[in-house]
Amino acid sequence: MPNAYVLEPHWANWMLVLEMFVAGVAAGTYLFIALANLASDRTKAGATEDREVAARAGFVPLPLMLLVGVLLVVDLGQPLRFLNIVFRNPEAVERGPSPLMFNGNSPMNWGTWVILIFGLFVTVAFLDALWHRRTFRISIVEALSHNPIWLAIGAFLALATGAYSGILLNVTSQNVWGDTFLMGGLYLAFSALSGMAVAAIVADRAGARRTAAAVQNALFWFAAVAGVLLLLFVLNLAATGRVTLLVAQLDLLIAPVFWIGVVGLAILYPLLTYWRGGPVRVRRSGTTTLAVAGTDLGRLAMVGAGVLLGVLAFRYVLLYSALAAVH
Amino acid sequence: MFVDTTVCTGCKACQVACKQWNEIEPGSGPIGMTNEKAVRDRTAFTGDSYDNTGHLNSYDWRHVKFIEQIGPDKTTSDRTGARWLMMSDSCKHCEQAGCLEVCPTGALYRTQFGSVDIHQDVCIGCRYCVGACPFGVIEFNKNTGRVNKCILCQDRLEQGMSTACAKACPTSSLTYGKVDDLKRMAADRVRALHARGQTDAYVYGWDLGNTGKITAGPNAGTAVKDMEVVGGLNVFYLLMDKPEVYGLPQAPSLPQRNFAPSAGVALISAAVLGVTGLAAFRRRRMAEVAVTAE
Repeated sequence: MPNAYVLEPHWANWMLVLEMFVAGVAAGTYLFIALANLASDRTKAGATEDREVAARAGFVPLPLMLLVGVLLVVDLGQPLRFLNIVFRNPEAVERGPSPLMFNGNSPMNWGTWVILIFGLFVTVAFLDALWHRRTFRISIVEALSHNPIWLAIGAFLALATGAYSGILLNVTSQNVWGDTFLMGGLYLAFSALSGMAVAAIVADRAGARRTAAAVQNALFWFAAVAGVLLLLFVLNLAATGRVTLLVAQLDLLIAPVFWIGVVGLAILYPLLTYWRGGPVRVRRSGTTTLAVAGTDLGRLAMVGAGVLLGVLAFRYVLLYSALAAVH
Repeated sequence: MFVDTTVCTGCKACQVACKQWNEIEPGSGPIGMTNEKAVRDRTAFTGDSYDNTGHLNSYDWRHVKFIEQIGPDKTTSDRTGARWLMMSDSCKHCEQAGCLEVCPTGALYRTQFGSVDIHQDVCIGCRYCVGACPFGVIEFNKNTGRVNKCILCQDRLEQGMSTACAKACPTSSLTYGKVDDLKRMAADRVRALHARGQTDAYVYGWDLGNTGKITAGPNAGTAVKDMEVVGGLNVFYLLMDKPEVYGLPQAPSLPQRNFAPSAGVALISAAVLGVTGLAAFRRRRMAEVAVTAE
């Protein structure tokens, strides 16, 4: 009989897959917003395009974070009790006198506080998106949403939020999840990739060719980083003897979803699509200098949608591979 | 608590006492049970074992394991070399308790007796402790939306009483007391067994310096020795075979071992993604500048 790790089946469920996917997309999308604002050159003609696309993308993270809250409430079923994770319940006297709850050894506590603070940044991004639509005006929002320090802090929190669920799963005793320490980085890479996929769709729909060129580049490189981390993760699992749970597990369709969804759609699709067209080609159009993606815009949206599907597959196989281990 | 598996008869008096004292509902049925109605009514039986609970769960805080080393064919009448090992299992109340470490609300806490108890009103049912426990002890209770496990009869201990299971055990397989006293008792017991030729006896939970060799069953001839796990177990065991045979992990570890490395990898990844992301936008602008300069 092997080590009898008994996984509570309700730990891995579709609600959790969706929670992690949606939170990852929200964090990744905010990362794009911060990058687009931090790296855009405001002195050049047409340079406001990045900010315009970023503002459009600003509509995405806040509703997704709110959706995560709703999914959590549905999953846990006890919305009021959830406050115990933020405010110390008086009965928990062992945790000291502070009215706030923080256990530094618990990734869940870290994550809760990071997400709470990150909520402020996505709210400002959302208000900025409204400001761009001329439906809402608060001067401090305009000032904050383009402030480099604010954006840098927001980007850091977005990265922390993206990594959170991976670290959370790493700090368990479960098969696959607890076998490695690479899941924080891996989850972060896939979160960033999903955010850039949203940016690809937004840039495409906005007809923003300059931004699309940068997004295409970022998609390529983020997919490359995610691919390297995934390879290291698989090698790490191979060293612990549990790699078959991921790459050859037919139970719960883990292996097919891994190869087609994760490797195929999330990693290879953007890599192969932009392998040649990755480096930006630049051409003149009248008096304006345009940096043009190597492929047409419609294709960029397709790649974005494919990557999003692949990231959803990633969330599924990583969560359910541990469950398959005890089937 | 010291659990001497060599004198356990599998009578399940400890299970009954646990349920009775703590007023726990009947169990949820064993793993792999396919009769849904029986599972729902909690009247299920495995059908191939005298073990009718299957595993520790939110309804069965104590579980007597029946390890039937009969061979692959249980229908044969040949019982040559067959043996049954019994073990009354529960929460180990680890010195380094993974569940307690990860609890985000402070619901799990260390008592004055060294055991790990749960503030039921504080638990939010996040189930993080379920995944963190290396022994698979804790389970989410769907009826209450909280987690349950053995709390070592905290209310009895506060009154100076022994635990219900130890009180009910007719063979003294379960002994409650101070851990240092119990360690001495365990060391004496292992020495006595070795002197009788039962060299397979050793302690799981603390390293008391005993070594031996398994004499019967499929692992006969395998060397065994005492093992201290997760900083020591406040509920520890005298075993007669490899830990895996009893459904215990060979080398359990605190899940927090991954926290700092995982956060470190995430930080490095964040730096790489941040730089490549900025480069993706900057590179386009540099290309524009180059073309404009032509």
